[in-house]
Amino acid sequence: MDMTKLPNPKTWLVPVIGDNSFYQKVQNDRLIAAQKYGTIRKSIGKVTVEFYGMIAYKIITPGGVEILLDPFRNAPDLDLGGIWFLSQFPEIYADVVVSTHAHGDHDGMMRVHAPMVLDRLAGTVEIGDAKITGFPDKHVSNPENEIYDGRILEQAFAKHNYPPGENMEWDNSIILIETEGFRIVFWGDNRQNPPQEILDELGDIDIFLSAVSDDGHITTARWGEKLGKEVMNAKVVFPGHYNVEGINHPYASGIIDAAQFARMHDHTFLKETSVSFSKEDIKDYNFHVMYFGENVNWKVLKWPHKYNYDYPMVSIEEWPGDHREWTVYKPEGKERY
Amino acid sequence: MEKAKKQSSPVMGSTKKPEREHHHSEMIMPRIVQVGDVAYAQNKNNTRVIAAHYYGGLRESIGEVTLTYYGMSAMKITTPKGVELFFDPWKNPCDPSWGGIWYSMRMPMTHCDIGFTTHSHFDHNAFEMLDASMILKNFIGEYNFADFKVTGIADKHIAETQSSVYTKEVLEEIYPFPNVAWEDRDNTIYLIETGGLRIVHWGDNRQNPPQDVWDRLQNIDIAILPVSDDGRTLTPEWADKIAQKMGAKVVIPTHYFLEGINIPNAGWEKSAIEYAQAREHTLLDTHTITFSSETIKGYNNHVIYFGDNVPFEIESVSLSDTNTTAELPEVNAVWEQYK
Repeated sequence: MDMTKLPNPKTWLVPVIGDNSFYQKVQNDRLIAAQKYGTIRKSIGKVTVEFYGMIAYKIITPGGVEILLDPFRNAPDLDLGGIWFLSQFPEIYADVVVSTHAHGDHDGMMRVHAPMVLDRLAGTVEIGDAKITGFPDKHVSNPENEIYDGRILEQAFAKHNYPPGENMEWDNSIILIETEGFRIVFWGDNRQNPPQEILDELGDIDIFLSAVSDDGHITTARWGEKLGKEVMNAKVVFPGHYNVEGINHPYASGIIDAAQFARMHDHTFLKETSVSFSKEDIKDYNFHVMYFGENVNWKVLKWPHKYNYDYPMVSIEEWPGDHREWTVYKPEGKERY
Repeated sequence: MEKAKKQSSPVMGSTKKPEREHHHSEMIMPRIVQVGDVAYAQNKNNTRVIAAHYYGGLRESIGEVTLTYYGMSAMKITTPKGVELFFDPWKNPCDPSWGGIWYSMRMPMTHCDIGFTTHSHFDHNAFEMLDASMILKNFIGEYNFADFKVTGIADKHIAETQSSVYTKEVLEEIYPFPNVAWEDRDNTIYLIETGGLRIVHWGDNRQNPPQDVWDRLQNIDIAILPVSDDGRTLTPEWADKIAQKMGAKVVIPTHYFLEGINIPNAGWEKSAIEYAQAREHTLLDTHTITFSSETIKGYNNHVIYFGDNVPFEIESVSLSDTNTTAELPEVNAVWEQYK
């Protein structure tokens, strides 16, 4: 692409706090259809899980309702842990955006073009063939990993981060999505020990979208196994909240990937950026780890500092060339005015 | 030569961009400094919502639903068991070129448990002014929690008011939103069921939604409608038709001019007092009223009008009041110490 041919867009600069969907190219027509006909398409009998990096997953129900969970952004205030992401979350479409809590790595709703947002949901929402339930609880405050404990975390954020008396950003809603017999739990950054009442309501599940990474900065491998395998009997578990090159800042919170966790259990290293399965496909699984690794469903620019990529090389004479735009002011018939 | 305007803009500060095509064939998008959600800055936490989750409410039922008016279309509905729902908080647009400055004050930061918006216009979407445990933005579907059920019915924003002033042409002229053909033409009508009452918050919905929407809006007890005497959103005639169609026992006008909050001529001129007085009505001298199915039993399209009663002090500044010259304070010559 010849960048010199791109016009400067006719834009004006506007700071937007809060809702920004008035400028997004999105309408509520798909959800009007879901409301009217029960689904958006004829059921395909399969649930689709797509990965977008960090802990952002898109669930597509068999009837076609697209639910995006926890898109990320850099927090507007750099004091909130500094720069975490090297890439902006892609401006994708979803029918519903769900955010579990008010932290930058989970509340980038403004990046997503969606007609509706469920922010920190408690209670039950039914739309199309999806039933989404939010269980209000608390954010992890003491991850019990080997790098830092809760007290260090409290110092790093300079905020009281556990109940009682914590503020909104240390709360979290666990999300349960039920569709065509599937029970899918999205953990967000919830603490490892929610009250037994919540665990009883969650019951046995099919898919556990977890916050497990090998450094365990939110959910450690040990806690992930305990919750997913022993408490919720999850058939399939997806790690989340782990490092993806080109997305996560390498020095933000000591984050690494989740490959070791995957290898510790029955696992599939997924080669694609999305996976679809029916209840039948996963009926014999028991805590089977499906790991997307760095396969995210958008194009991430990875700088060539770590691996050799096949980058096209164009000579500087050829592109962009020596365009002397200032010569339109050249005096006629002489060198200088 | 500059093209003559078809009709002068009644909106103060409105600057129609000359590039804008009339039928939106070319959209000019703003470059956005995206701040987005700011709930991380809230001081409160989700304790009340957790309590409502475990106990089904926050108090023993008082058997009545409480409505509190916050100006514009903003209404707080408190369920009998104490859960506070807030609909359509308002603010000035991020960019005054999108319809000008509308308000001479900010809606105060307000506590509620759950915030709802009907659509993404600034007079309805200021959820950052809510100290809320959760926000359901432009919600569509059925929502069950504690002692209430909210159904978000997706439809479209009003485009042709049929008022004598705010015609489609005028609205398109004075609101050069970047995106009028897209989400900003959507609207959700909310049906709130709690305490035995069926309450409708209309948002800015069009007057003629399809039949399946009307089917969901039958046997309504309270209809919160954006009706004003100048027909800025719903004309009195359309409000009557809608109220009759829903069988509303009580109609509460909103989205009208309220002195001290709304800037005069910024897209509205009149309150809804004439509308109320021309019908069976009650004029309230308070911002809060409670209802039960018993108290509104005999009513039929009875207008209950909040007038200019809101639960906060109206602190707008009028430049015309400052016609005296203030005395200049004496300057303390701090620099003399370095002499």
